[in-house]
Amino acid sequence: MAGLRQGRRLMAVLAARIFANSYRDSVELMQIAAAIEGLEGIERAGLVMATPANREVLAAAGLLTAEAAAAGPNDLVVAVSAADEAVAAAALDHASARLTGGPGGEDGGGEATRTTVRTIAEAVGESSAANLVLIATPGAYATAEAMKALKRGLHVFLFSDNVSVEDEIELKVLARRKGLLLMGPDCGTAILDGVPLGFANVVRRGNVGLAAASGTGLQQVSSLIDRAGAGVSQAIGVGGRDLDERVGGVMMIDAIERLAADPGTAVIVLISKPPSASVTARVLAAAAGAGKPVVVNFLGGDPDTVRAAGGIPAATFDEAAEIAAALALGRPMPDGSVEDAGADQVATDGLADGFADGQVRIRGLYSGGSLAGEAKLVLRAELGAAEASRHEIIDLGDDEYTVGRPHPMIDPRLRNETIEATAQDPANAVILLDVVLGTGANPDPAGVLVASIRAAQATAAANGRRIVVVASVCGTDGDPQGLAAQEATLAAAGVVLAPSNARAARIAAGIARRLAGAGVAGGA
Amino acid sequence: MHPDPAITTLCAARISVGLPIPSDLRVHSVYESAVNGLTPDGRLVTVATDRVGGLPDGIVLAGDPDLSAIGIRPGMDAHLGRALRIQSAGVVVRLDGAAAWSPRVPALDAARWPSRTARCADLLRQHRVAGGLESLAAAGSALDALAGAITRGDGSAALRAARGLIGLGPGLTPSGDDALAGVEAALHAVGHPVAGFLQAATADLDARTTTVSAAMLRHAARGDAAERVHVLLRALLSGPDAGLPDAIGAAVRWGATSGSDLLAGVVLSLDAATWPASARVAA
Repeated sequence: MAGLRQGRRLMAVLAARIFANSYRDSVELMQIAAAIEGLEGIERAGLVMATPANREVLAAAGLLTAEAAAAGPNDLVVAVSAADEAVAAAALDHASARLTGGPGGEDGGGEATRTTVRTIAEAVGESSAANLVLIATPGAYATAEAMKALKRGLHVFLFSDNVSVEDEIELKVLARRKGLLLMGPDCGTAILDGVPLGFANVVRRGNVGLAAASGTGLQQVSSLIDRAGAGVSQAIGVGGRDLDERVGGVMMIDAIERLAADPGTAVIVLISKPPSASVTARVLAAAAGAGKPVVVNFLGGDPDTVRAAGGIPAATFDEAAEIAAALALGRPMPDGSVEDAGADQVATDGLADGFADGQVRIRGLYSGGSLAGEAKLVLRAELGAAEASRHEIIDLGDDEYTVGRPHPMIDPRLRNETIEATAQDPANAVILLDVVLGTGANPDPAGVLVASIRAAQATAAANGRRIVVVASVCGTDGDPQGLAAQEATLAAAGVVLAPSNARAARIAAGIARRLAGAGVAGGA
Repeated sequence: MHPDPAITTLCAARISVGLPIPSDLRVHSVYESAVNGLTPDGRLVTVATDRVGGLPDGIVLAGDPDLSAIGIRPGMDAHLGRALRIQSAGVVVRLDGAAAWSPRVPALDAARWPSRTARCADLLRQHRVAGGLESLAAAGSALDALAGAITRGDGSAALRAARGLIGLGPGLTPSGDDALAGVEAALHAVGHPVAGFLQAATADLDARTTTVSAAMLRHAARGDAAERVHVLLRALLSGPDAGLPDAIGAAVRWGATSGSDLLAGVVLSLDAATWPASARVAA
């Protein structure tokens, strides 16, 4: 049931609020339920219509107050079990604010309150200066909302997925005709004029412009650009399917044209899985006409094709960031010595020591799909396809793992359970993780992993084995969570840290190579 | 005569057969794509945009206007006659020229279902939506009992199982109700003897679920359903194999979980109605 999370112990305070004759649409109710569940100090939460069946479920969950018991089927119940009265009241106020637009909203009532509007028309009426709409409703409503926004002359950040390819094409044709951005569908990340949209990192402003069909790929590259001392002019998400043959890379090409015309952009970076040959040709042709250096990170793509078109190929996210930063800051181009780093670190730190016989496998447990994809590519490059296939890289944000659960970037419970389970398999030696910071992510993504990491290490030790956890933190010191603090938390738990996901995968590959008895690591 | 600038005039493209004309209405709820009104005897009349499509007791508008932005508010009085007039909002919905549309579920042949059930189950898994029926621990045994009752042709047992689902779950139309609407739609489509088993439950629906959902279930018990449900059933039972992914992909996008839950009810019902043929193929 949406909003009925089970706690592990009884909490002190049960409270509920009833909204009589409340007919909010289901999408909105699910969003509010998810928001309340995520609040600090909330152990259990329920947000349902007070039908007899739902009142029974609330009772079974220990959430049925007297008011909820007396409510009727057309009344909305918000019930919470919380650490104390203040936490409970804050959660209920949060729900009230979302449902009624009253005080006590997300800012805790201390900041200026936001007006709650229910339609784009109302929102535009509230702020005639708005020129962008962020849409996160699912399904057919998302298409309709995006269409309405475009017809009103607004750019669109379309976070929603489950939009058909036909609808995507129709939206992007209209957007191009009107000279507007249609970022999406299934677009999770963008940074426009320094403002992060969706899941994004706080990065320095600078002169590197990015266009990406990959959310966490964009996060990784932009974060590493920031760490290299360069900055981002604009980071445009185009949606995960934009470079599909049927869509044709419409928004990627639009983004290239915008970045080419932007006086604040000196270097352009493109990020995607490799498109089809025809889409690649169109995108690279647009890049060739940009008049600025274009770094092309088509993960797993053919670098010669990119070079032939005048682009600069980058095989991994960190390579793309290093090249872009070098160009932006007028530094020498990187010389590829990073390729040996994984092997070097394994040799120097003794990471391949202390394992039991039979421990040979890497298990990657990822929250970012693109980072999981990059890890697979690195393992194949380092170990060969046959050997790489013996290891397991899992994208826990994939649909099959998010049935009835929030995404692992928001809710770490599935990944934590899987970390602990991984240590129980005697074949597993290395756990590979991504830890993603930024807006929209968990307030302490490293902290919520530590207990499970320690439990996994203890399980292995108790059975005469060793589990090495290798991780990279995707983020910056400007992020709400703070890169340095997050890395310190992981290091204190014995996690082997790498500055990038690709480096982390190389370290893991180096360990696996040693354990498989493949001889001296490459490059030594 | 010049049109009154204070009046918003909308045109109906289609109206449902059986619409309660004439009736007084009280506006119940307002959304961007739909406005619901209640008659004194508890029928729910819905004005919906073309994108929503035909509904039982429904009026489908030409085009896709934003119905939440034209001044209609819950509690307003309305009258449904030769036009639908919401006086205090200055809204008139013209019904002249609208075509009649029947909400009755079409009669379809279930013969192809056993050869399609495995493929549809795969597509459902691919298009899973979080937070609906699957997340309800209380639903599992009721759904199993319902499937068994349909297989045996036992309407009383189906009703007993259904009582465990009515009003259960999140959403304005709770997940259990969406599933039951799907079950009834499929049973009526294939002419199963248990079709209409929910009729015996309609008397106390208002005490067990939301007003909107109670209306949906009453219609479902009679064999009436939304146009998009007709389209879905035709695609599942008589359309080409190549159309199944789009049909299922479109259905799961209805609402937050309503489409996914309704589709689960349809599939459960068709599997049970064609047992054991569907079981052999699925195995």
